[in-house]
Amino acid sequence: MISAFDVFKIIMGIIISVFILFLILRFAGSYTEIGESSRYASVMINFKKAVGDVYTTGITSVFETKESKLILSYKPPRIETKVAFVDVEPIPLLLSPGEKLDLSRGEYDVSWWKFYFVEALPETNILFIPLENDEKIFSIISNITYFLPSTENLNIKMKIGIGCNGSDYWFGWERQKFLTYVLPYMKTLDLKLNMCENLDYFESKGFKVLVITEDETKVLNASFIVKPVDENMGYVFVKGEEGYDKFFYKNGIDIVALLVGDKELYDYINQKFFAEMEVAMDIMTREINTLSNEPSLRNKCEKKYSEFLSALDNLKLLKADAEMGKEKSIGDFTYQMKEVKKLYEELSAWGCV
Amino acid sequence: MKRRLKGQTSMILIVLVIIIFMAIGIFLLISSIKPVNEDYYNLYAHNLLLTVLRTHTGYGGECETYASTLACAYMKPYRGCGTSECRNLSYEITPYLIEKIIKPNLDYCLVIEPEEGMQGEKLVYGPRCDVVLNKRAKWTANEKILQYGANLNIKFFISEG
Amino acid sequence: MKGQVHLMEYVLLSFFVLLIIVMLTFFLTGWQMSSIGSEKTRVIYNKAEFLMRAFANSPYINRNTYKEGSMFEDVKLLSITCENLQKLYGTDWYAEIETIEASESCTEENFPLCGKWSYCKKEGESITFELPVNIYRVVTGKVEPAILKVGLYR
Repeated sequence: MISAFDVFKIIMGIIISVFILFLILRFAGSYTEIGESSRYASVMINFKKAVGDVYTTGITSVFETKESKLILSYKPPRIETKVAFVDVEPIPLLLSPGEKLDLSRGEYDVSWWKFYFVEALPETNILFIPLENDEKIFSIISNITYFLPSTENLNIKMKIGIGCNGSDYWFGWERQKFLTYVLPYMKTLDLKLNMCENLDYFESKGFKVLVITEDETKVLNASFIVKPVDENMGYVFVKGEEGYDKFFYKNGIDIVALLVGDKELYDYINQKFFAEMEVAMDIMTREINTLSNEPSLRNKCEKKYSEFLSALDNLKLLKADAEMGKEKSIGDFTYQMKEVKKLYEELSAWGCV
Repeated sequence: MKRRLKGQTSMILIVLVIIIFMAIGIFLLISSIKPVNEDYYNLYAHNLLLTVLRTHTGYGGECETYASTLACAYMKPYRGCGTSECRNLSYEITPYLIEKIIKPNLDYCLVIEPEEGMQGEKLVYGPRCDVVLNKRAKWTANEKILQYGANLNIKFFISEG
Repeated sequence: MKGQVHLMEYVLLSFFVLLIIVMLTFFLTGWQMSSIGSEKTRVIYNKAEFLMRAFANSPYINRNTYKEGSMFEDVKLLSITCENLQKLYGTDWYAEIETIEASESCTEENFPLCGKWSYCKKEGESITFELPVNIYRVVTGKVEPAILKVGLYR
């Protein structure tokens, strides 16, 4: 016969077991969550370090988050992830979310100034559709391609092509080969491409399609139209919910920002570009003034210094207008950038800097 | 007697379990201690080597930079530089240059040898090379100097003293 | 009496088992918190290291033709200011460069016969990294060795 003590042991045992089980399940549940969050946070810390390494060294690398949808969105400079926001300041970053990202450094180099930025992009196929055979058209294709990542030695590919209809379709090169061989060859073909009949097909396959034309009105149903005004500047039309949104571009970086991102990314990269340009102008002005006080350089270089400073001052004024989005000033601004670059290169050739 | 022992056995078991958990905790703590920052010391070694190689010695000619002095010391050891010969000059300026820059807690060793596949002697610079080269924990930087139509491999090692 | 002793034994045993579980809970939570703490340290450390590399390779102070970086032009070091650096790389950090031959702090008046540059230095504890670099003397074309110190204030 079962004793009172046995009953007590059974009841006590049940109570304690239930309590222990309850504690363990509660703790295991929240511990798993904490463990998972820690893991995601660690991945993002490593991502930020990888972006920093690419920014400082210029060496391209591939980053795998090993977790789909870890990076939810990018509202520069903050990356929204499953666990937290990650700030990438002070690095200018062009990011398109993905599980496996190519990290590479882009450089905008005008001799007297270099603007570095990092591109973190998933595998992408890019298709250009030039509707006219014109120097301006091919110049902007070259300009855009220059700011795309080079993936030659990586296992994540950025492939580029031209055209989309039947025999007028060439696709599958990476950046270097496209710039060095394909584009110059295409120029010689006197292409007269028509608008894509099967544009939806390419877009549904994830291609980024850029229609390049001097007359955007003849293009129907394209998501992304680039209209060059001259070799340096022009407009981008991006299809929105209510028609097309119009943006101006002054270099290929603006176009790439709109292609891989949106207006927010475009505004952000512009803001970074102009802010760093202002710093560069500030430093350059002081540098030239210091050098022009040096007796050994003054005789040889005085005239060149003063020409350069004058051109730089003009650029400062045009920059202010360009930054405010005054479209009429963009052409003058891009022209003046070339002038300042030319004068700096002359200073360099003369041994004045 | 048996029942008393049973109670004591339970207590002993509990104490044992506590000790085991403490041991696990200590082990986890020890394993989470970070080792020395490898990335930083590799960069430091690389930059130190690059810096000294690019430095102008003040001698001009074949010995304008430290890199050209080393190349001269290897390929044309008796060529004159200033009041000295290349090779002797390289042994004079190496400690002056490197020891003024390097952190006080680090030892170094610089080795020049011909490129892979070529035969030739090795030149070794550094007061404690035998110690540095035998240390397991050391950081390395490599550079090549192209001079007199030949490539020389420069290997630079640093370790904590 | 014997029965009561049994009961007490049993209750005591249960108490100790619960105590072990509670200790385990505290231990795991504590370990998790210290792990988070060390991640925080890693983030700060990474930031300090990034600032050192960014400064050493900055196109704003390096000589154009030296792609590897760490070749600072003396005139660029004189021309850049703390405000410029803060706009480029953020605040709460400092940088100092000093040539190996002891020298004065650089100003417009003593340029180029000087060898010390300092940016955004202030009182406070910092994580500091040192790196050997070169200084390119623009007037003479000579290259000197120097030490770069970059610190992130805590």
